Amino acid sequence: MARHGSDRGNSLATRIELSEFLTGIERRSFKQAMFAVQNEDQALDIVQDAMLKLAEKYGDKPAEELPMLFQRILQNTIRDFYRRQKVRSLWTTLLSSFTPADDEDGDPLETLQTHEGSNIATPHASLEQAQVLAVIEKEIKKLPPRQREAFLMRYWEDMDIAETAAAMGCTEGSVKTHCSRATHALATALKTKGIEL
Amino acid sequence: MNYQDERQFANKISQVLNRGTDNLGPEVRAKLQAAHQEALAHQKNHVAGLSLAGVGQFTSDVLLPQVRKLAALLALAVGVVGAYYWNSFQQAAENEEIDSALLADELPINAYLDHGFSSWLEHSSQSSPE
Repeated sequence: MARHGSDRGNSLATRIELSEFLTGIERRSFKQAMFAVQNEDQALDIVQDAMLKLAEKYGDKPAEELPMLFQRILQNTIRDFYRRQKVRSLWTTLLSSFTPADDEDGDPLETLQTHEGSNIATPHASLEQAQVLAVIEKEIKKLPPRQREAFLMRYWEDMDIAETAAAMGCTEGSVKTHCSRATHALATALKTKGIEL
Repeated sequence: MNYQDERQFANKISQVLNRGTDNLGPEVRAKLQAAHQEALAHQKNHVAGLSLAGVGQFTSDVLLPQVRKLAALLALAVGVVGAYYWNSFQQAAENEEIDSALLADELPINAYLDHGFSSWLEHSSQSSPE
């Protein structure tokens, strides 16, 4: 977890600060986009768009405002993607009833060898870690979008409740509810699979 | 699960997720790096304040908005006071006309048609000693 605030009060983000912020956020934001859209190229496009918008429109904002602004932009870009996807899938459904559905019910452990296997240097612990990671990522993908957003911003991005609420455009109470529901859903799912953290 | 447990559990999940970010392929990393550089190349600069240093920046950032507010308030106050005085001048001019007409005994016929005026006349003549 990383915190990207600046100790310089309300001073404007310099190029170095913006660069440091982007370095810290880029991989996690890519993963966030992947959880949402489940396609590598599209996730990359989303992150690229979000970074560009942040720099172009808010590059002169104080460094401590960047995490909230970036998350807001990222979530909006993901929502735009959903909207476009909806229109596209309408046409696809009309043209073919054999569209491959998302593999929601599949067990990630079955596909683990092809998914993560290439990067793992055999030890049992690494394999186990990779399996746990795969299960957690799959469960996070399954969360309702708002719960996932709240959970990832609040706990993975380490944003406080007020920042998360501002980024999501909802009340702090809603953030707490989303986070609590997401945490319970993940805990239940892991327990069912016999995984203990 | 209370809040503390929730937080603890979420932190453990975050740690696992962090490990996931280390497993990204070189191609994805390269594309993210390219996106990063492109974003930096388009960073918006704060133009208004940076060109003016010291007193100039203070004037443009702090004083100007305050001065604008003050000017607007001042204009409003002047307008209100002006309207008040304008009304009172008009009233005074009307009263002056009536007074001079009374004194010269040249009241217009309209004055006698005004019931208010005749009752006032009656009242004032009764209350006068003569």
